[in-house]
Amino acid sequence: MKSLVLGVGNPIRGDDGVGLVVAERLCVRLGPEAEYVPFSGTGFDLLGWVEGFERVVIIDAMVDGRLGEGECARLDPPRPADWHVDLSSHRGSIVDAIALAHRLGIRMPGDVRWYGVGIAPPDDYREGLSARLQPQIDRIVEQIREDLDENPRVADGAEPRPAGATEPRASASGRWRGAT
Amino acid sequence: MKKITVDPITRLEGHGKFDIFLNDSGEVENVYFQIPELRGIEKFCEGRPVEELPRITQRACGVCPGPHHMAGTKACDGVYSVDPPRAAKKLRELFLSAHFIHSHIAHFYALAAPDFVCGPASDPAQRHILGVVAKVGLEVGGAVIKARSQAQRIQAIIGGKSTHAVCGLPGGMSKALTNKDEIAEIKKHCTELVEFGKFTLKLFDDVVLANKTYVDIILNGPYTMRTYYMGMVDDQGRVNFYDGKLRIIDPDGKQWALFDPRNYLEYIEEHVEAWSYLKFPFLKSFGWKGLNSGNDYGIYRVAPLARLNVAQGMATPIAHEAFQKYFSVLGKGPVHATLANHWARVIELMYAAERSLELINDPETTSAEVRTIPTATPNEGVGVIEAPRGTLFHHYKTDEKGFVTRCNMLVATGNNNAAICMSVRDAARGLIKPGVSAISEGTLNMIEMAFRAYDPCFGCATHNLPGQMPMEVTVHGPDGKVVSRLGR
Repeated sequence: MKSLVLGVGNPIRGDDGVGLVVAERLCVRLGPEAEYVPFSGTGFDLLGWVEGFERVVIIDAMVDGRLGEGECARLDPPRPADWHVDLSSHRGSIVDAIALAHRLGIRMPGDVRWYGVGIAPPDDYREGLSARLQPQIDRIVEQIREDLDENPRVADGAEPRPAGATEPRASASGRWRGAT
Repeated sequence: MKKITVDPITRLEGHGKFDIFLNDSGEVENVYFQIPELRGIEKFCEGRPVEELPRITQRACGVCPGPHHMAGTKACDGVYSVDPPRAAKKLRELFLSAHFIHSHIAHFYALAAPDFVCGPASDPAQRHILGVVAKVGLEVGGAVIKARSQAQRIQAIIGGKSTHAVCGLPGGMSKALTNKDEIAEIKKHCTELVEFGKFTLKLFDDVVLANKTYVDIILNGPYTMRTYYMGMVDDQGRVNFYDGKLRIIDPDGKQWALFDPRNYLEYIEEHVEAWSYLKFPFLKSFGWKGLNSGNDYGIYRVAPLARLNVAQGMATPIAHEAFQKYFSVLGKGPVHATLANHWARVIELMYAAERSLELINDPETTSAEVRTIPTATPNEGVGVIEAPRGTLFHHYKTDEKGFVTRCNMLVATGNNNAAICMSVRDAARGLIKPGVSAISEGTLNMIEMAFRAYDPCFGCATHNLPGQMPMEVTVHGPDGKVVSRLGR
């Protein structure tokens, strides 16, 4: 299956870059049908890249405490934030971008998967992963690969919630380190 | 495998915070805009080979890495006292112009247009990019996405990657643009982007300029402020993003300075306030006199409004025609209307598209000679370019082996910091009426419009990832107690 594997993160922000490392290795494991893209732009950049792929796999670090360091989970297709006019073009997550694509009728791959890897909140600029996380990468890669094999198709379902069904972003139950 | 529901997606880091203080009469006494982030990337750069800095410093942000890469590359030229071949300079300018195109498109269609196409006080459930698409047509949304992708593709061809480029080296570029297929592809994209620029100018005419209410808001609302302005101009005084001199004009439009950007420290100093991690640059000779506008205070602005104010015109025909119309409608200049940034941004989009087409059609751009090998002992260099959000300075010092001993980045949003604070304060004073203890969503949005016009990047400005910016507005009564709080 032609897959786009997005690693999300900053390579000089310590464990924030775990998505990049895992995605790159996963891509090797998936073989020539998979293409790795290190993703650290705005979510809307994604829309220009997905054409021709059947599956998008997105891997990012999570800091919300529900995952221990090195723990990996498949995320339910996340819902986008409520639409409103933003304050800066520096916002705009991958989720929002996918939802926008649906609204605009842009053809997206039918299978969009999200994986989170738990990390401690990064507190400084630093190269490379921590000594705690580094030894766990191969296991995480295998976990994701097995999950892809066992669940051959997951609908992305990232349609925006109905307009007006507002809920303040700041009161959300979870935190997701989205695209930077 | 464990499954987790993250619902909804939020971006909670890097809160921006407005604190609005009311006096005994219920009027806005002051507004503080706070960025509770720490700087760090400049320190991270110390001890590293200077040629790595164009690739490192751009990691301060995921949205404007291209300008950081270019400013860093120019600073490296300076460190090694090397002059790149003309083809390298033109390739860099093409790369930067492509960045302007997708950056300005994103801002105009996603951030500016909702306020004007849907209306500043319209239903917030409709006041967003989808509301814009609903009004102007579904096909416009697709065209916006396509145009952004085309500009990013140009960056990817030249820079190796569309987001965090790897092309800039001291003395030139890592790769020439000689592949015929790539040249043809860029020409095709540029040709279409010129048409998209024309379309956007017309959209602005039809939707904003044709609506007297909107023009009144731009010109007569609480969004005007008399400041100094700074921007880069070519040898004919026209806007240039990549190279030239920096021109500063006073609030009356009189030239205050015209200088080699490498000498910026003779003109600009940075002030630190205890309540903000973001510094406040000001014109050095005035001394810091607080957040005040006018001829006697050294607060200046950068970005599209400033660039058009300091220039004699645009260097491409369609953009220049739009430039002339801009000043005929808004006055002979300088234009002090903060919201005119949106119009200026659209004119710059046109210029960037036209200039890109000029550059790709210039045989010199596709020459194979893209590198002058540095031979001098490295020392110190300043790289200055115009980024979409304003003038960007990178200043590096190294030891004799080229390892960085000091790195300073004065970024576009930093240059505008004082002006942003004052614009928001003035908008709040104009829009919050005495006796009103709670701010309506519509009023909050109109205050935010003063802020949004600058398209601030606090990821870069505070040099902290990820540049996410949830916003909280808190209104304090005369006793300091919180009387109202709104979050985004």
